[in-house]
Formats: sequence, C-alpha cells, structure tokens
Amino acid sequence: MKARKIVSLVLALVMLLAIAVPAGAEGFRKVKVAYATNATDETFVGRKKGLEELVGPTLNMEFMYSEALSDAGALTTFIENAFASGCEGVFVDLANAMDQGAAVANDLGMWYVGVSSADSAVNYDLPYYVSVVGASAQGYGTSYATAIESVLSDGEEHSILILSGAAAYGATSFIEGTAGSLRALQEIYGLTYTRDINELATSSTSVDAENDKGVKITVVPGMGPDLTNTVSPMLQSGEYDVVVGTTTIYGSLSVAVDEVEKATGKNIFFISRDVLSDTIGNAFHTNDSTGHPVMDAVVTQATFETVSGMILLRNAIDGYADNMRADGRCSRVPGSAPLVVVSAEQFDILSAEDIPFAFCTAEDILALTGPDATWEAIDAFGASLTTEAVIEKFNK
Amino acid sequence: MKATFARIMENRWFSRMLSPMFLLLLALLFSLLTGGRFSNPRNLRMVLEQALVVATVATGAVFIFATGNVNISMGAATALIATLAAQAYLASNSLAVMFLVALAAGAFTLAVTALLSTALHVRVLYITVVMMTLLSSLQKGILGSSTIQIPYEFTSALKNANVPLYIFLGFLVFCIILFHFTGFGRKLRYIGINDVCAELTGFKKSRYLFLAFVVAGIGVGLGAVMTIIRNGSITTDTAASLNMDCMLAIVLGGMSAFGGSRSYVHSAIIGAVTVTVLNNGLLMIGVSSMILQAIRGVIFIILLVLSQKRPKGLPSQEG
Repeated sequence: MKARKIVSLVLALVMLLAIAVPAGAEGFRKVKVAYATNATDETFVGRKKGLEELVGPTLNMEFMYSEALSDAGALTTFIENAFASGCEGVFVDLANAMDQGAAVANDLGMWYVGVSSADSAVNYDLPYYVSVVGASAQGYGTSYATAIESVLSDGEEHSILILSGAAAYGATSFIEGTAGSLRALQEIYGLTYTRDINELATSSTSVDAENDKGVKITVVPGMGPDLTNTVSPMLQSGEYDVVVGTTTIYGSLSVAVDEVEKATGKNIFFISRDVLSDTIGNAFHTNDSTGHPVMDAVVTQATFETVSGMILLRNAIDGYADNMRADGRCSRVPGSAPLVVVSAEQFDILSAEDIPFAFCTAEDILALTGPDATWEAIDAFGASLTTEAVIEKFNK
Repeated sequence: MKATFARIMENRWFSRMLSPMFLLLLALLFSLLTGGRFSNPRNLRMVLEQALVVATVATGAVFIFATGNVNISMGAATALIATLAAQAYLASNSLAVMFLVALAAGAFTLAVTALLSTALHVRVLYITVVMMTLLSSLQKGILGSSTIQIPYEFTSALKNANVPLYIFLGFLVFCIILFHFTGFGRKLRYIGINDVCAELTGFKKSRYLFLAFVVAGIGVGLGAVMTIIRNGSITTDTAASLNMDCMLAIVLGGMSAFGGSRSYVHSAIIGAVTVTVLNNGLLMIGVSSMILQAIRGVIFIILLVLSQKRPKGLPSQEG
C-alpha cells in the first residue's frame, strides 16, 4: 500500500514537471547557435529581429551574434569563442571566408551553414558542413530582369546607367544582377551587344555597352559612399533617364537623382537593391519633381536564407544531418530568388506589420523540421516564395 | 595619501606586475563566472592560439616602440608578406620556401621603412603612414579580387603539430635574450629615454633604428606565416585590424607608450592574451558582442590610465 502511494506520488510529480517545464517550443531541446555577419547594417538588424521574434521561439533556439567580421582570422576567432560559449552550430554570412569557416567549425564539432550566391568551392565533404544557403546568382539575374522589364516596357527608348557594384571583384550576385539587366534590355529592344555580356558586367572601369540599335547603356563598377562622386557627374550630363543599382544605391544617389530631375525637368527611373524599410516605402509613396514615384522598383535583399539556414542547423543538431546534406557533401539550398517590388501597393502588402519575417509562418518552419524533413523540401519551399505567391498568400 | 599613490604608480615593480596581475585576476574572475568552463584546458589553448599572431608581431614591434617610435604599417606589412609567402608556397609546394620568403620579405620591407626614415630625415611615424598605404596598395595590386586558398590539409597539419606555438616561443626567447640580456636592447631603451643624449654618448640612432626594424620585420614575417596557417586563405581584408591590435597589446601589456626604460618584451604576449581573454570571457558569460566593445573600451582606458603615466624625474628630451 505504501509502495503504491510512493509510485503514485512519483508519477504525479513527473506529470507536474512535464507540464511545468516543457522541453521547449514544440518539444525542441533548447540549443544555442552562433551567427557570424559581415556587417551590422539595416539588413542584419532586420534578420536579427526575425530570428529573435520568429525562428528562435519556434525552434527553441538562442542566438549569439558576432561583430562585423572582415576576414577568415576574425571568423575563426568568433567560431572558437562561440564554441566555448556553448554554441552547437554556426551560421556564417561572410562569403570570402565561408569554406575556411567550415573547416574551423568541423574541427570543433559544430554544425555549419554558410551564406553565398555560389556553391562551396572547397571543404564541402567535411561531415559538419551542412549546407550553403542563399539566393543563387541566377536568381538575382532573373529578379533584375523582371524589375527592368516591368519598368521599361513602355515602348519608349531610354538611356540606362547600370551600377555593377562589386561585380568587377568577382561577386557572383552582382555579376548576375548586371548580366540579368543587360539580358533584359537585349530582350526589350531586340538588340545585340558588340561585346560579351559577362565581360561588360565584370568590367573594372566604366564601359559603354555598345549595341546595334544604338541604345545608350553604360556599366559603372563600384559601391559605397564613393559611388556618389563617380555617378553624380554622369547623371548631371542629362544623358541618362534610368539608373539600375545592383547594390543599395538609394541612400547614396537619391539626392543626386532628385537634383538632376529638378534641373532637367526629366524623370529618372530608379531601380535599386534594398530591404523593405520605411525609407524605401516613402520612396515608393512619394512623387518626385516630375510627378513620378521616386522609387520605381526594388530587388529585395534575400531573407529566406536566414530562416532556411537555421532550419538546416536545427535539423542537423537534432540528429537528421544526413537529410540536410546531399550525398556525403554539404547541400546547396538557394531557396527563393530575391523578390521584386514594382509599386507602392506591392510594397504595402509585402511590408505590412503582420507579415512574418522572410514570409514564413511558424507553421511553415515547423513543417520543415523533424525526421521527415529534407534539404530538398526546404529548397522547394523557398523556391515557392515568388513575389506573386507571397502577395497572394498575405494579401487580405 | 596622494604622494603614496604617486610613489606606488612610479614603482618599477608595480608597473611591471600590473598587467600580468590584471590578466590573472581576469582569468580567475571568468573561471568563477563560467563555473570553470573558461579555465577548461581546451578553451585556454584556444585563447592562446587566438593571441599568437598579434603576440608575435607585437613582440617584434617592441624593439621599435622601445626607441620611442611607432610603426603603424605592421598590419599592412603582414598582409602583403602573407600574400607573397602564400603564393610562394603554392608555387613551390614547400614549407621551407614559404618560411624563407616570409622572413626575407618581412626583414626587407621593414628595413626599407627604417632606411627611408633615416635617409630622408623624416619621422618614423610619417614614413610608416606612407608605407601602410603603399604596402596595402601593393597587396591589392597582387591579389585584385581574388582569394588565395591554402589547402586545408596543409594548414590543419601545421596547426595540429602546434607549429604556430613553437614559432612564437622560439621568437620570444630570441627577443628576450636580445632585448634584455645584450647591449643592443639596452641601447634601444636608452634611445627611447633620450635620443639626443644617446647620440652624444656615441650610439648611432640610425643604425640601431635600422636593426630594431629588421627584428620587427622578422616578427612580421613569422606573423605572416602564422596568419596563413590560422586563416587558410588570404584576401585584401586579411590582417585588417592587426596593426591596432598590436599597438593595443603592447600598451596593455604594461609597456610605456613612450618607450625607454619601461619597455618589456613580455608586454606583447601579456597584452595580446589580455585582449583575447576579455573577448572570450565576456562572450562566455553571455555579454552581447555589441556591448562587448563598450566594456572592452572602458577596461582598456582604465589600464592605460594606470600604466601610462610617464615617471617623474626620468631624463627625457623635454628635460
């Protein structure tokens, strides 16, 4: 009788503990994961918010963020310190040291996901190297082509200035962004370039993309604050009425564009890469001195890669690494191509308060975790997040 | 009370022991706060490995600092030499060739810096500002947009064999003997105390400055080899923060920013490990990396205030 009472008491206690101390969100064990970033800019702040508010609570993950890292040495130090702090996985957004970081994490026994628009070049068979995520270079090319086609298919002839960013330094997303823009113009005007498109996209000096139709197209490399000094005089010449930035150019060039529009009375179409921030929202909603919207199209910074990377890490940590890797090597999960926003209405839908980070709900994330989840399923879900699909899903 | 405090601050042993004691206390504190995880042998080894590149380059730089001069081109020199040495390795597939190229290029680059300063009669600081830009441009010219990748098997094998640690220990012993147990080291410190007085005594400043830069160049060469082993790749961002880290390490390690009699070779390793311990320990106790910079800054300022007061009565150029 006494033994039965003790057993009942123990069982009751176990049940109470089970209710009072859950294993974590949806039964997940709490894990800590490191996030190494190359910049602590607006994009990073947005991703951090998304991780803290959506991914962390959903998958019971805690995150440790780095300072802005620049090279493999700083990344190595951060990964080692993250390991010492109890992190079981690491997510690395530093393309120039991605594969070296994988080797460091592998030596420490930490699961590893890198961000790049290209696949891993070396170290891909290391057992802890789970995946390379990030919109593919081709995805950027397609998105820029879409943006240009939607803005310039008015039957008019335009003069176009394409800012190729870091394409001259071999950055694949910039190369494809520039090449995609050139291909779209080829399609719109039915023209033929006298030089190879890739050669034009990777030029380290300003170059005219000469063509048989005589359409004025100039490719200008470079990014950052210096861009204003290079590009402003070109705009002031009044020759160009379309500016396409494969990097974030709104902050550095919007004033220059506005001044030229006021001086010439001619509208300049503005296409940029950026995040869906309040600043960009204002640019879509405000008309310039010629009565046209300040911003005509935005190719968004990819956000799904952050979510997919964390899902891949969560699954690997939980023991399903084989499903997250492809045939004995790290998988390549490009996921969604960057979304293209071409109107204030689209911007309002995609940036509404209740839109979840990276357009993924907690249910979407949970559906991609567990023993049955595969990297192919995660990739396919990302690929389904097109601009049209997202607008249809969240437009109420 | 004030006089007693001033006496303690000027005490030779206080200035010598302040930084090591602070480092020890810091390590004990982090061990307590992390329940012993900080003092886990694996973590301590990681901390040491993280500090080695800075410690090696800074150890060589002590010879320049001791003369009262500052070289701010150490990071750019290390990056350029790492680029050359990595290319030499890839071309020859020989570790010995990589070492030789790094040592020769390191000593040569810094020797040129010293010669430019003494031949043109321009202050070392100004020459090193120019050299920093020049060396960085050279590296960018060589690398362009490419990344030099060193095979993982090669760097991993050297890491596992503790090669960086042995390189550092060998260089440290060499520097300690040269700086603290030979006339050369004493003369460098004398120049740091008062270079005019040293010249009048018969110590040719240009000659000793040249030799100090050559020793620092060897440190830069070895640091470049260690950078290759640790990073496994070289880009134009390699060693971007090394210069500031080295200067910080020397000063935090207890060496006077004015050089002279309070110059110690061990300052470099104490300072480099202090910076690393702070980063590692603060992250382990859960401090966010954004706040970490602020905390680190406050601690550095306190240490600087405590250790960098120029002793009263020390003969100097100002009298």
